[in-house]
Amino acid sequence: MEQSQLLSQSSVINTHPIPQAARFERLDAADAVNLELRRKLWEGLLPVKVDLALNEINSSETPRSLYIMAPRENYFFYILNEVKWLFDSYRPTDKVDAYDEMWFEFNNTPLKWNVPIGVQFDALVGIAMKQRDLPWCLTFHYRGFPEEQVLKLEGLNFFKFHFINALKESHSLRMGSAQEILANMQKKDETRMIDGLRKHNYENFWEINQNLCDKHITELKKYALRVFTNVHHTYVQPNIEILKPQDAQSQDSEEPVSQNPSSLTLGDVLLETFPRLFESVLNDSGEVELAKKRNFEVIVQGVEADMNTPLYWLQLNMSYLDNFLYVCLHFL
Amino acid sequence: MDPKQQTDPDFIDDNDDGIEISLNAVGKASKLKTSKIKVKRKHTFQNVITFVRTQLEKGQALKPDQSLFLYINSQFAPSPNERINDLFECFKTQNMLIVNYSITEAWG
Repeated sequence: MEQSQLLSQSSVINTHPIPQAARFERLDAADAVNLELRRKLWEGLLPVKVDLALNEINSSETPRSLYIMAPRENYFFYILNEVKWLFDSYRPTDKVDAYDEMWFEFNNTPLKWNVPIGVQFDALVGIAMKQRDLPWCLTFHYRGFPEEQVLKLEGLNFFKFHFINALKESHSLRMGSAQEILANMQKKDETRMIDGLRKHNYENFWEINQNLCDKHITELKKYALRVFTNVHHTYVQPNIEILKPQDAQSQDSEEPVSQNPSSLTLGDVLLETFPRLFESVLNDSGEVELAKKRNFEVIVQGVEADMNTPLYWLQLNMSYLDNFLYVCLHFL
Repeated sequence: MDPKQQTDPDFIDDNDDGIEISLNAVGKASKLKTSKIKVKRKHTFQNVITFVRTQLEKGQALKPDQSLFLYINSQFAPSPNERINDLFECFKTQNMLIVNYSITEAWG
């Protein structure tokens, strides 16, 4: 798979050190942002087929299906214009631009307006079933909004509000405060970012987000991680503090710090957060290995994740656009 | 199964423990009679939003069609489907989750 090849090569191609890293003495590959990967992830598309809910058709003829390539990192709001353009003439006459009643559905599961498209696909479809389930067949509704399960869409303002607040939440986690955004982000920056999302324009979006996303590990307080699954209705946002070397080492001890904070892996965190799903097992070569207690896939950005990947590298390179790292556990 | 009810104890092992939330009015929003409430860890932020709205509407301090915004630590509005447990563990201050509510959008 293209993305997994990129992952393994990531430390050697087109990387650039993050700006703040220069003042720290020890640099390694994990401190570098992989711009080629960032763009590839931005360009990742999912083939989607959208049908209008049959019982909502206000016409004798059935509308055709909409086939569309949906950007994985973006939100359903992005494809809404095309969906409405095709279906608006068939909609119930009492529902003219009633944004707060519109919703997408997959297999009786209402999809969320405020969660990236790719995260919902990875959690609900996974990797093994992908070939069978592509294109991703969704149903669009103009009414019957599933109250309490999904946030109501209230047009562009909803989209803006929820995106900027998710961005501030991940900043609060990673930097200990969202002050950098609250104090320094100007209206025009916000508009440029949102415009980048609305038009799926990489330059507009990343010109602003780069400074918010690319932080050296010594600046980070916590990781911003969310874990979604197809077996539970809520997600998990674990509290993962980044221990500073001075915390782990007493003043007069001459022993070197045993654990470098950047060596914390995805497996370490999943084992800690989900003790009923993972366990440490000694393998035949005498090494400790992370084993799953049930049959599920661990997916990051559409790729089965390697448990030994440093969490910091994932946070920096594989986060979604709100700077949260989304991990999906898809149970088979 | 109704996705709303779908649960898996291996993924999240919910219990009935509660945590404390402090509710603070901002700007023109009215103060609540109870400014500290205990909320179960397994609930979502939506429960807090609903509680504040109901209390304000009861006291005629908010009309049903008026907006209400709830923030954590005067910084960001969490997603309503985020778990109280996670918000508390990630953002608590002195063993309490600080929530600010406003009838207009605050904090960018």
